[in-house]
Parts: sequence; C-alpha cells; structure tokens
Amino acid sequence: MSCGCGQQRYSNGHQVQRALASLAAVCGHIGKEYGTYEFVSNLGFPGFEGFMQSANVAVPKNAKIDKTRMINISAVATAMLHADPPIKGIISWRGGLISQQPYIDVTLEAVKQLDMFVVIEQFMTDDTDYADLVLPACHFLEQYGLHTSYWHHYNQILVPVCQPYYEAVPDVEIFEELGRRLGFEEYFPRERNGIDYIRMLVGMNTDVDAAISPNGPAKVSEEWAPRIPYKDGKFNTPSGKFEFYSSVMEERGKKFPGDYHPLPHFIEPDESIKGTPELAKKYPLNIVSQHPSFRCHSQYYNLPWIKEIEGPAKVHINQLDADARGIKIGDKVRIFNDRGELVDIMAKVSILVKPGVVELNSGMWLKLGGNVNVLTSLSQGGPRDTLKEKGIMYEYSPLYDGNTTGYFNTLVEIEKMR
Amino acid sequence: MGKKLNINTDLCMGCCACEIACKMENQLPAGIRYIVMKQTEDTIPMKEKLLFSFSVCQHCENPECIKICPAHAIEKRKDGIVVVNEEMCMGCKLCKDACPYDIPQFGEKNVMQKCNLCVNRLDIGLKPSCSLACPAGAITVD
Repeated sequence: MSCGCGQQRYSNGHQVQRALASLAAVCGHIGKEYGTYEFVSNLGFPGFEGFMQSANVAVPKNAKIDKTRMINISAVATAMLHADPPIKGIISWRGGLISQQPYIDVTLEAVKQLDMFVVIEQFMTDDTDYADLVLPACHFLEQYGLHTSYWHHYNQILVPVCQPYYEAVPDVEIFEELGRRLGFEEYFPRERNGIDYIRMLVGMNTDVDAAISPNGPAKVSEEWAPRIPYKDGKFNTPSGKFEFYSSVMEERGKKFPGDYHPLPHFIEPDESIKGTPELAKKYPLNIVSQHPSFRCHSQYYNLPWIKEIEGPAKVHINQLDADARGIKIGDKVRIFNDRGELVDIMAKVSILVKPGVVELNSGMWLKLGGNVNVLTSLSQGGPRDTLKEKGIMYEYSPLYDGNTTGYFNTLVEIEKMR
Repeated sequence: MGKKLNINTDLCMGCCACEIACKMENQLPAGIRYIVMKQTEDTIPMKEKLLFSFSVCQHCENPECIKICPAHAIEKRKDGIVVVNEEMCMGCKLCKDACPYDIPQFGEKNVMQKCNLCVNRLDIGLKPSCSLACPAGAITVD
C-alpha cells in the first residue's frame, strides 16, 4: 500500500494511517515478498530512525548548550503567537513559511508581531515580502548537500558544480557564522566543509564516499533498509508482534494531549460534508490540493518556463457541481469560505474530481494569486494535539506523535464571477 | 519513411519533462516551445480518462513549409528530418500559415524555429533530449 499521497492530510489523518497499517496486517500482507505497508517499512521517510546522528552536529562534545524547545511544523503560527516564553524572532529557510502554512491570515498576523523575521532565500517570495532581513541563499547546485532516502532506499551527496553569485553563501555557512558570533567559535572551525558535516551525520551508518557525486545513488544497507521489512515477523513493539492494540500509544496518551486511542478508530475530520453538516450548508465543496508534477511545493512557481507550462491558476470542478452553479470551463470563479477568498481563478470542469470535491494545486504564491492557504484552517492531524500545547514541544516522537497539517478538511463554496 | 518523433500517448502522464528538456537543450526563452504537451479528457460516462496529446513538428513526408518557403531555407534531410537554415530565413512567416499543425515559431531573431529532432545529438548516436528525459519511455525516434 502506497501512503502519504494525501489521504493523511486531514485532522484524522493519523487514524487513516493506523487503519491502513492494520488492514495490511489483518490480511497478512506485511513482511512478505509481495506486500507491505509503506510507512511500516519506513521507506526512508521521514528517515530511518537512528540513521542520522544529528547530535554529533547539534550537540558537540563539551559544548554547554541549553536544551531548547521545538516548534511543531503543523502549528507554526500558533507557536509564534502563543508560545510562553514568547518567540521574538524567526529565521525561515528552505521552506515557504507564508505560502505553505495553513490559514494565511493567522500566519501573517504571527509574522507581523515578531521583533525579527529573517528569511534565507533565492528569490523574492511571499516570505521575503515580510522579512526584516533577507540573506541570499545558494542554489543546491552551489553547495554540498545530503539527499537522504525519501520514499526509496538510496542516498545521494551533492557537490557544488558552480560558484554562488555575489554574496550568497551556503545555509550551513550562515549558521556557522551565527554560531561563531554567539560565542561558539571553537565548534565551527573554518576548515570544515559540507562533506565533513555529512560524515558527522551519517558516516558511521553508511558509505559516504559511495554516495558523493558523481558516485551514487548509493543503496542504503540491508540493515537500515531491508528489502523485505519484517520478514522475520519481529516488530519493534513491547510484545514483539504487530500491535493492533498499542500499549505504547495508550501510555503516550497519558503524557500528551491528543488522540492516542490504542486501537485504530474512526473520527470525523474537523470539516466535512458529513461531520459538519451546518458548515457544509454554507460551504458544500471539499477543496483538496495536488502537487503539480513539474515543481515542488512553492519552489520555482515564479520561473518563466514553469509559468509557461503551468498556465493560470485553475480549480478543477466536477461537471455536476459546475452545472449547478452555471459554471463552464474557462469561466473565472471566486472560491471562498469564512476564512478568506480567492478571485479570478479559472474553472476547469474535469473528471479529476468527483461531485462535492474541488481541486486547486498547492504551492502557488500568495502575491501571484491562487494560494489555497487563504482558505485552509489550522486543523492538524494527530495523534498529538500540539495546538493544545501552543505548538511548543520539549520532546517529540515522529512515530508516536505523528502530526501533519490538515489542509484537506477544508470546505468552500465556488461561484462564477460577474 | 523518414525519421520523426513517435510519442506513445498511452504511456504519457503529462509530467512535461520533455518540454523542459527541450528548452534546456535548445536554450529557449519563455514564449518559444518546440514540444507542447496538452492534457484533455474523455468524459464518456464509466469510461472517463485523461488524454495527452502533443504539438510538435511532424517532419512531414511532404512538408508544406518547404513548398511555400520563398527563401528555400527549409530542407528535408536524407534521413527525413526537416531542418531550417537560419541564415537563409527571411522571417516572412509564410511557413506558419502553411503548416497544418501551426508549428513554426519566431523569436527575437525573427527566424523560423522548431523541433529539429536534436540532429546534433542524433548524428553522434544520442537520443533527442525529450526522449532521454521522458520517465515513461513514451518518446522514441522512428
């Protein structure tokens, strides 16, 4: 079973994953040549647990570093607004904070009340529009990079193939320099480069040289990425078996708020036609977002070649829904709910969506129109409810705490523009 | 039968890797596209499917562009590939009207541009860039 292609982007997304894993186990399709459930076998996503020794870089020997707090990725604006002690400054890099976080109005409110918003970027994006300081980022072709397995079993190590322009420097150099100026000079020797960091991170668990371009992609060892996961029927659980009833989940639920029900069970998403019928009377369409195949999230949406291929922002709508609203293919429409509205979106009447569902691609920039996060809510997939914790964590387990942004349980209405 | 691009549209998934590879190979600015993927749909109930089609030079057997070109700037090679001699092209654009597929394009230099089947690559035994880039293996040269 293939996972992570959108079925998890709901406030009950964690239950979808548990149900699917359990379904595979009930059918005996785990640990077999012909069958597995992707997330169980951990196809490199989000990372093989223990593979990357981040502490080697983050907490060097003899360094006295206070334990810091973390922001949950699906509760960023909440943390920025409500954390105690308050968050005064943010450095945003390698991510479109404003274009990609849900409920843009809340994100903007959170960014505006910061004392300092620093953005490391290549282009003038939605983020740089609100930055107090923009630091010029390198392209991935201009710096070393560790491209670990993500949905596959290979590592690649990128080497710079051209010099950065003007004053752009690799991200790692920006943070090294920041570290030096904050008094940690001894931990950031100037002769250290990207490959050195990579060796510190994964050198003990993989053959780094085999993965350095032009070598590689280098297959991750059988120990970390077994060809047939759980072939021996042994699982990393207290009982050693696949656990439909998870005592670990039950225990964790005593420690943190959220849906840590030990058995998989069904709960309605935060917004849905069936679950929130009153809201659905006003906003009867469920909006979801695809990733277009020729760009990644908000990256490169601005490039002339991509614009040429992609064309204008368009919303896919089923024939029945379009007919009911007098909408024909090519019409300009308005998409709206209580949180915001998008205007001048081209309607594409399509077989891609069933009645009741509309689709607007993700990653479109706010300032260029069509950003779906004008409409999405702060909804979060569990099990952990980090919104209750104001988005701040002092410990976190990807396996047990989960979390994803519930982009897809968003209800909207569409009407033709006059 | 001369060489031309054969695109298996059943294998195509509309990723546009061919478009980008072509633009990179030919260093094309925005506005000039030698190969264009078009996505439409078959909406017959219970048989709905996505359809992918292409706009690209067909390297015709009897090219209308060659017949009409007053500057004799277009030539069909022995291997069938239709190529443009930029130095001879006047930019009159008669070929654009003549082409049944509306393929000829004109950029800043006002000379006719179109897919040339990556002749420089073919001549040394390499595949055209679009063919190499296609993850579905949908593009071949026949």
